[in-house]
Amino acid sequence: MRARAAVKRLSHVIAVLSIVTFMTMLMLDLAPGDPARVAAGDTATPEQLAAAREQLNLDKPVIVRWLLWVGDLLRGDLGTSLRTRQDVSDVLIERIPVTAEIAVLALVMALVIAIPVGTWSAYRKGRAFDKVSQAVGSVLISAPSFLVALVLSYGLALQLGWLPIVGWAGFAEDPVGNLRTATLAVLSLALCEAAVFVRLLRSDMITVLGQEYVLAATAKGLSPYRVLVKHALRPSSFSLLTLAGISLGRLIGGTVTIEVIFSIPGIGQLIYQSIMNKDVITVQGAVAFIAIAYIIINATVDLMYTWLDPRIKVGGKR
Amino acid sequence: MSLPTKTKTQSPPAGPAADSDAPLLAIEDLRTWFDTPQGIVHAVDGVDLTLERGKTLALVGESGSGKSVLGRSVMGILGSHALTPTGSVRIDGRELRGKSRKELRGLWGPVVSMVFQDPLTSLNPVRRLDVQLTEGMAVHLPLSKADRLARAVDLLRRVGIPEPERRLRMYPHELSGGMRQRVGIAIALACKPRLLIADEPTTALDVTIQRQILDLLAELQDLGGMGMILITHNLGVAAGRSDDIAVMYAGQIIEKGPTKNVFKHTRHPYTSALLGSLPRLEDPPHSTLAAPPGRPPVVVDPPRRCRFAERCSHAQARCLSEAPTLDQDTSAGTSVACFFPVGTGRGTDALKRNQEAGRTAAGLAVERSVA
Ligand SMILES: Nc1ncnc2c1ncn2[C@@H]1O[C@H](COP(=O)(O)OP(=O)(O)OP(=O)(O)O)[C@@H](O)[C@H]1O
Ligand SMILES: [Mg+2]
Repeated sequence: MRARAAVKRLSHVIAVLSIVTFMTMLMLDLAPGDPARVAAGDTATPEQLAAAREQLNLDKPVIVRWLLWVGDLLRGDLGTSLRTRQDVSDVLIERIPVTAEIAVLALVMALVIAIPVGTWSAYRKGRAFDKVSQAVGSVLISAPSFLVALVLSYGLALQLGWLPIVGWAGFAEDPVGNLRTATLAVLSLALCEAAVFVRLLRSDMITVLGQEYVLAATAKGLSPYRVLVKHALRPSSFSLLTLAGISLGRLIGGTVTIEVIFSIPGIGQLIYQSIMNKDVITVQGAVAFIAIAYIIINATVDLMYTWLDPRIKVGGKR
Repeated sequence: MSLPTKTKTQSPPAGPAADSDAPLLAIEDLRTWFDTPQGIVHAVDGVDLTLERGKTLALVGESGSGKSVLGRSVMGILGSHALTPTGSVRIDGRELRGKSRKELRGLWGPVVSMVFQDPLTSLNPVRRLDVQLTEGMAVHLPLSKADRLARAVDLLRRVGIPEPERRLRMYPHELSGGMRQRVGIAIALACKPRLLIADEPTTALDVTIQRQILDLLAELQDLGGMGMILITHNLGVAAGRSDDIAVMYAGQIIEKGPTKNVFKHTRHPYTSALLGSLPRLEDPPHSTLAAPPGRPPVVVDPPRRCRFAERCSHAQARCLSEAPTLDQDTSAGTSVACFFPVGTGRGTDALKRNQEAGRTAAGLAVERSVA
């Protein structure tokens, strides 16, 4: 039974990866611009262009190119960037930690904000705290994250001068600088995610707080803190967990706007530049990474469901 | 809207300390109303009750008559759309109405506790039983963690759960309905309450276990003087296990008194209909109330009249224009809220008149008697 579930899951993973990478290649092929010109340079002669085209297999159909790419991938070769001639795997290894750091910090911060705020809003439904948090949440939800980013950088960086506006310091060289440069991006992302989290947790929590077992817990004379945290929070967290998984996937994929605004050398910026440059091979590598990250996150979320609710058996249903 | 309001009441200065002369529980003119889209539901509407230490009061009545709401009002654990109950609830002479949430918390468990009606929804599905059993003790009893667990094991054993040590590590869904009901009872007993509100505590249990549980409760009453409100559908249990009985209809007590007297000199036509086919203790445990035809009303904006009149074979014009109060009936040794009680001259006449007319004043058809 377990083995069969694993095989099913694996074939699912392979299918997803194939479709995503193939579609990427197809889309880039349809987009205007010529990768061969990128590779050969602007001053290339028609002969050089033709040579580049042949070398990049651009004369072959998309499906063949994709199969060739998959073949290389299986040998652990993601190819070399058309523009910079760097190994794509090297570029990714350089960029992934940057985006991952920002994504994980943003998610953690969003949860750290959302769990207490959402819980308390539900507990004090209709009271002042709830009303204020709902109002702030509405603003954050309707505002795009780049707007939040601009407002934050105006306030915290320009006016108060607490933080650098743009740039990036590697963690290994300068840990403090690293955190300082990450803060604005993390905060902008976290606030927007937190607003959605609060809304979801609040509404689920209100349902759970009406459950008989919460009343029964209250009737034991437990403090409201204990009732909320030990009895109501876990059963209220299912949708939050699902959403947090989706959010993390999105954040790991690189939040293009935020990375571009703050000049953060992460995956989002890489994809943005590579698409602009028609650097097909690099885009392919980044997309494959994102797809794999999504798959790992999904599997983790599934495992966490069984921890949240003991009625769910691993690999099965309720 | 009148009476109950949603405002936070100022808690009165600390009332008189536990008064040994006062009854364990004294309820006066208790009203609990709910604000619903259909209107204000008068779920409990002017109830007076007293209960002495070590005694059992059986609370009976059809589904929807307000028994559970009454129990919860005594505890003070109503949902958010309940209007703050008015009236007085005193335990050992101490007023509970107007007490702050924090003060009440200190009472929930050691002073008053409740067995919830539905064992399937009143246990937290994602917490193990050991936590659910011991967390109340951690608040109220001076016990170490090991002692709390030992007490939990002991409680489970006493409510008849085999292999209690193993069960403690389980989640509610791993237990049968009957076992969950017994866990609910164990939780309610965990802090040795002075007053137990047991809301149909034995419905899911077979006769043997039911007897074992009721014996356990009786033992705790004899030893510790625990008082109990036993809410039940089972008149056999009510007859065999209670000192007093109160019959509830549409949010009000319509007849109450010593159990013996109520059974022997039943005065209210509603009680009389309930007792119509009284099951005895030897009967299967699920024999429930024999209700009179019709359904009890959901009381929204009640008119001033007898709430049972539509279903009552004694109903007269007076019953439709005036609400009877719960008055003492010295001949029966009980109290009854009826203008034309069963077993009295007035009642017999009323029934006879209705039988001759073939219908009651409220229009209910009555079997015509041959004059
Ligand atoms: N939270 C609530 N909001 C609105 N109405 C309620 C609420 N709780 C109970 N009621 C109403 O109060 C009335 C009494 O309900 P209650 O649960 O006390 O009945 P009961 O006598 O315990 O019935 P049962 O024997 O089925 O348990 C019902 O009409 C019910 O609809
Ligand atoms: Mg009930």
